[in-house]
Amino acid sequence: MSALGSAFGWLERFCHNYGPKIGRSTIVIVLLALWLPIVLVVVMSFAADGVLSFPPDNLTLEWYFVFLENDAAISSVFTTMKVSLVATPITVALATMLSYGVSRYDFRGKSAIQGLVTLPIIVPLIVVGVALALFFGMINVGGGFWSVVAAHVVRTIPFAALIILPTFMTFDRSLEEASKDLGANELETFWNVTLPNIMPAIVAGGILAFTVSFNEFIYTYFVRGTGMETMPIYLWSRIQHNVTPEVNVLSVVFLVVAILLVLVAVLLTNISRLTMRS
Amino acid sequence: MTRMHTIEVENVTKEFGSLVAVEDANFQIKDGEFVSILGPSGSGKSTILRMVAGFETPTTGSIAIEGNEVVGVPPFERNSNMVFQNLALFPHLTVAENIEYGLKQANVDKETRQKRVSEMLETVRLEGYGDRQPDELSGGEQQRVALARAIVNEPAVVLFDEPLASLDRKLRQHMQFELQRIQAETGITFLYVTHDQDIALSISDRMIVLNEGAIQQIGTVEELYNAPMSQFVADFLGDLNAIPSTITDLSEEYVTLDTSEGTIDIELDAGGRNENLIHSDGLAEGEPVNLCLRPHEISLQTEPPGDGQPSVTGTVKSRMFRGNEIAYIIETRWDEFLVIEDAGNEQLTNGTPVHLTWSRAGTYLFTPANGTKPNPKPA
Repeated sequence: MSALGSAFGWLERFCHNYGPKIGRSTIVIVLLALWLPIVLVVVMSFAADGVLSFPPDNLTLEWYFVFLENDAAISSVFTTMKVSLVATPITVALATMLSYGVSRYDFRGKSAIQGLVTLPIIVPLIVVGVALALFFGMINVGGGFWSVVAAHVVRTIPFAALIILPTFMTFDRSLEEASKDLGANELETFWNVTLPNIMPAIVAGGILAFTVSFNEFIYTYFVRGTGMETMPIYLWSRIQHNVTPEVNVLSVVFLVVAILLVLVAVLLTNISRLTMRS
Repeated sequence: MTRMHTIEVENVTKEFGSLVAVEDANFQIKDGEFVSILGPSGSGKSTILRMVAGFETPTTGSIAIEGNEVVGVPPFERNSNMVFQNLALFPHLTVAENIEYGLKQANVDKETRQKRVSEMLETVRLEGYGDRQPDELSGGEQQRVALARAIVNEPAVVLFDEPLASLDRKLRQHMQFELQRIQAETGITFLYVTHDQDIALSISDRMIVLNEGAIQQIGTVEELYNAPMSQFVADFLGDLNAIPSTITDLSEEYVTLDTSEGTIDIELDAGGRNENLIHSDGLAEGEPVNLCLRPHEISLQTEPPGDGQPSVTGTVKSRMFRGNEIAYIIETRWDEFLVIEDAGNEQLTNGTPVHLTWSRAGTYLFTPANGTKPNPKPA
């Protein structure tokens, strides 16, 4: 007992004395682990040598010109954008409708819905990927754009619902009653009151869904058939042959496009203003 | 054209599963009246309000607003507006946009809307607050915005679901005056739900007292305070001390009660308070009755009263100084009695044996309530 007590006492003194230092070091280590690989990729995209060795001897834009002349690479960027920009609104709409239904109506098994919707996140991706490919084969839908979009919707709905559903569940319903009391019907109330107030969650869910879709590899790999080459798929096929700095250029382009699209979404929806108010 | 009642509630019953929230409610509210529905929590008062607003549908019965049956009519087609308990101000809109909301839904043109909004801001004394967000305002200011939003469309009735409950005492009193002022200015009928008898007594013209889903009594505040028809109403509208007793003799002029401290004669034609005794009509000898006394009507004295004046005995248990008056808790053989005396009187120390006397006019007789539910008598 006293040994335990003194151990706690020691721990407490230790935390008291070194707590701020430990906290700061943890932040540095975590941020390095997150950002160092990205910084390396960006730096290496300017490497003059044909091989990946750090630090590069000379810097060059050569590989960016190589990329710009690579039609397959550029078309893969556009394919990815097309898939994600189509899949994300579908996902957001479905997740919003589902959340509205769950928060509004009573039905059997309602409490299980939240778990059932988000649980697929932990199912091994390859298992679902194979299942999707088999399913599309079974219903005689081959690979192609819409198969990939459907797979992306399946992949991203749990993420969008994870954010949108709780917001609906905690939404103050008396705001809707006030709206109806003041003369707005159900549809006007949803449009004027419900939607603006849950918009931050819808945008956040949409951005998360978009980034997951943009990076999606495994489902796409299984259901794409031939010809559909999203950027992650293209990258994968490239590094199987040889690793040149062009792969890094592709990664940088990938990163820039993703960040730009998210920024556009943020600006368009004025999310910072909305989150501030709610 | 005959003037309709603003609200008519007829034989309204509301059941939630096996729970009867409101039982056979009947009342009318006249145009321009300020009426409170008063009852303890769970008495069904909010349910009545929500049925008038259209958020709940009566199981049976009918509700009319300005003579039009509204059961089955959705809230957005009813000529009533509500001030919600949590106010429910739209957080994504400014103060002016909140007030404007109802006008927009009614397709009022923009110029008129702006004019009406600034008039409303003036009425609730929030000039210059139009561009603020609701969460930047204090609790009292938010109340005013909610009120302005509810009256801007000039509905037949504004419904209040205890919106003042969250305010501190001083602000609440201030808002009560404001409500009365605004109601007088606008002439709109107000129906106010509360569990706080002080609010109900001070702001309303008439009160509807509710208990366990059943209306106990309806009347002006004076009627309900001075001539309560049941011990529940009397007790709810001010403290009451009850002496259980049995009727031993009953004549045209006197009723003789047997308490465990001897017999007490009550004169039946003693003036104004006779009303109360008449309400205990139908009582026979041998039946139990409560002799009830308001704290202000009792006086304390250390010597036994002379010439047959009725009294009971007790002991001072504690004493609270309240500025111009002193509240005593007196231990009696039945219960602890609350007695309020002027601060100028001689102060009694704890443990002093006292005699409690009362003026003849200060007594109420009630049939003892079974549990908390008294027997309501039809008006």
